Amino acid sequence: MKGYLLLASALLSGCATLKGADQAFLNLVGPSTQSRVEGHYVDNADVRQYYKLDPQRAGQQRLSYDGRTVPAAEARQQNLADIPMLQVYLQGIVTRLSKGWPGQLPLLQVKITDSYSFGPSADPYGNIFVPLGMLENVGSEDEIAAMLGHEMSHVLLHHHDRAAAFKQQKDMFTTVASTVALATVAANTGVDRSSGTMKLFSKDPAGTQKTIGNTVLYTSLANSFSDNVWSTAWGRSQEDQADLLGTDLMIRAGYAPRAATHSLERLNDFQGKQKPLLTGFLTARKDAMQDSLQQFNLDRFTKELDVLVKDGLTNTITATTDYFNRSHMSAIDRDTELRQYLQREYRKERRARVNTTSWPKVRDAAPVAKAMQGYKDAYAATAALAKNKVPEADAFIRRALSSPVKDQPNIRRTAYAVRLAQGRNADALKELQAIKDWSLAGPSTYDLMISYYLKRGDGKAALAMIDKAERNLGSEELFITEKLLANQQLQNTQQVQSVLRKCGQYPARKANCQKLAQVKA
Amino acid sequence: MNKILIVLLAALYSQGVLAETHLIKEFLADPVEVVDEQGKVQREIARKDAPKQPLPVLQLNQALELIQVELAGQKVWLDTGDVRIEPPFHKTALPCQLMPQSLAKDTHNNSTLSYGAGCNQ
Repeated sequence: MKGYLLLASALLSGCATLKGADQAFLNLVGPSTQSRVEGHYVDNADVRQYYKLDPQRAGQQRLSYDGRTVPAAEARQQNLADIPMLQVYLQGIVTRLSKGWPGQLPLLQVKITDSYSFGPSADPYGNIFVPLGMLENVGSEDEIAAMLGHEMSHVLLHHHDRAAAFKQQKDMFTTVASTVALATVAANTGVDRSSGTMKLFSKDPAGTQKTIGNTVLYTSLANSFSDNVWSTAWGRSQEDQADLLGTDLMIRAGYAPRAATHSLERLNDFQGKQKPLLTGFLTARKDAMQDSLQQFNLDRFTKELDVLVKDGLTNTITATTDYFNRSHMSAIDRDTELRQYLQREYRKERRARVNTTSWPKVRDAAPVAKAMQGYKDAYAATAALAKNKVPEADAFIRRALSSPVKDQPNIRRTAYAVRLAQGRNADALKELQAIKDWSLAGPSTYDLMISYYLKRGDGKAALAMIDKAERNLGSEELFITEKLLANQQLQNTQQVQSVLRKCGQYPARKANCQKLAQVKA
Repeated sequence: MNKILIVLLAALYSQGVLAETHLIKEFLADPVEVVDEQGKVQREIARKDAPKQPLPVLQLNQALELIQVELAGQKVWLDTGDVRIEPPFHKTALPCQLMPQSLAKDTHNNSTLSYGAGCNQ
C-alpha cells in the first residue's frame, strides 16, 4: 500500500502546477497531514518554498486590487462594516502574527463583513474577511488570532492556486487515482496453475479489502466527480496545513495555541451535527465491493464499480461535495489532530493561558459596542421580516438607524426591505440613497440601486452607480449587462458597441448581452 | 460582607453545577498530565491506563482551564487541553440551525477559503 501511495505522490508531485495534490491524495487514503509533519510546520521544506514572494505574482495581485479584472464569481459578495477601532485592532493582530512568518509578506488586509456566519475567509488578493458573527462569539484575542492565523496561512501558502490547477489538470487526478487502485489489486493477485488452467487468486484478501475500502471507493468516485472530489480532498489537506501554520504563527506571536481548540469547538457547534449525505449509498456499495473481492470475482467487481459510478452520477455533484466537506472537514477531527501536533512539537507552549481581558476591552468600548449593536438590531429586523413580523422589524430597524453605523449599506438595505414590507416604496428608495460610503456595499446592494435607475430609464444615474461598483468591487464583469442596457437607454451607439465587445470576453454574460443587443436592434 | 459571601458562594456553587453536567469523553494526550490546582504538573498517566468510560467532571476552573475528576478513587486536576469534554465549553450564541434561513445562507465569493464549511441547512 505504502508503495502505491508513494507512486501516486511521485506522479503528482512531478507536475509543477500541482503542488499540494500529492498531499491531497495521501489525505484521502493515508494518515492525516498533521501526523506526517516533522518538526514545526513553518520550518518544513514544503512551507519554505513560499518564503520568497514571486514578484510577478505580487504584481498580478496589485493589478487585481486596482483594476476591474476580478471575475464576477470572485468579487466580494457581502457588504462591509466600517468600525474603525475594531478594524485597527484586528489588523494589529494580523501584523503581530505576520512577524512570525520568516518569509516575505504579501499584502494582508482585514475587512469586517456584515455576515452572521462564524468562520472568517480569505481571498487570493490577501483580503481576510471577518464576519460580525465571529466577533459576536469569540471569547479572547487568542481565539481571534487562531482564526486569522489560519486564514493568513491560506494566503501565505498560495492555497488559492488549487482551483486554477484543477481547471488545467483534472484528468491527471483520475489517472493517478485509478492507477493506485488497480496497482493495489494487481499486487495482491497471484496466479494458480495447479489445476492445469490458470486461475487468479488473491494473495492478501484482507489487505486488499482494506485498501479497497479506502482507495477504490474514493477512486471510483473520483472517476465520476474528479474535480469535486479531488478538489475537496485537497481542500481538506489545505485546511490542515492552514491549521498547522496558523498555530505556528500564533505561538511565535506569543498567543496561547489552546485558543485554536476554542474556535474549532465553536465552529463545530455553529455548523451543528453534519451527517455525511451519502453514507447509505457508500456503505452499500462498499459492502458489495468487498464481498466481490472476498470471492475474488473480478468480473462482478468490475460491474460493481460500474454501478457505483452510474449510481453516483445520479446524485448531484453538490451532494458529493457536501459529503466530503462534512465528513472530512470535521472541526473536531481538526482539533484532535492539532492537539496531537501541539503535544508533539510544543509541549511547553501548549499550556500557555489565554488572555481573556484584551478582547472584551475592545468589544465593550463604546464605539465598537454601539456599532455592533446597530448591526445586531438590523439582523434582528431581518429575522423578524422573515417571520412576517413587520412592526417588530420596524422597531429593530429604528434602533439600528439611531446607531453610529446607520448610514452603512447593511443597515440601509435592511431599512429598505422593512419599508418595502410596510408598502412605503418611496421611503424604501430614500433608505438606499442614504448610504454614505458605497465602497462598503456588496453586489446585491448595488444591484438594487442600478435596477431602480434602469427601470426609471435613467441610464446616466445607472452608469454612475455601475462605475462605483466596478471601482469598489474590482470587477467589470459583474454589471456589464446592466452597463449595456444603460448605454442603450442613452442611445450611445459607440459605447454600446464597445461594451458589447467587452461583454464577449465573459462567457457567462455573452449570451445575455447578445440578446439585449438583438432586442434593441 | 454577607452580600459578598452570598455572591461568592453562589459563584462557586454555579461553577460546580455547571461542571457536573460535563463528561470527559476521550483522553487525547498521551501521556495525560495530572496537575495541581494551579496547573503545575504532578505526574503523568499513559493514555492506555486512563478510564475508557465517560468520566464526570466534578469541578471547573475556567480561568486556568483545569477540570477536577475522580481517578482511581482520588480527586485530581487535569488540563482541558488533554481531554475531549462533552458538551464542549465553547459554543456559539446563534448556531446555524437557529438562524433564519435567509441569514444562514451565507454568500462567499468563489475564490475565498473559509475557516469551516459554514451553514449547510
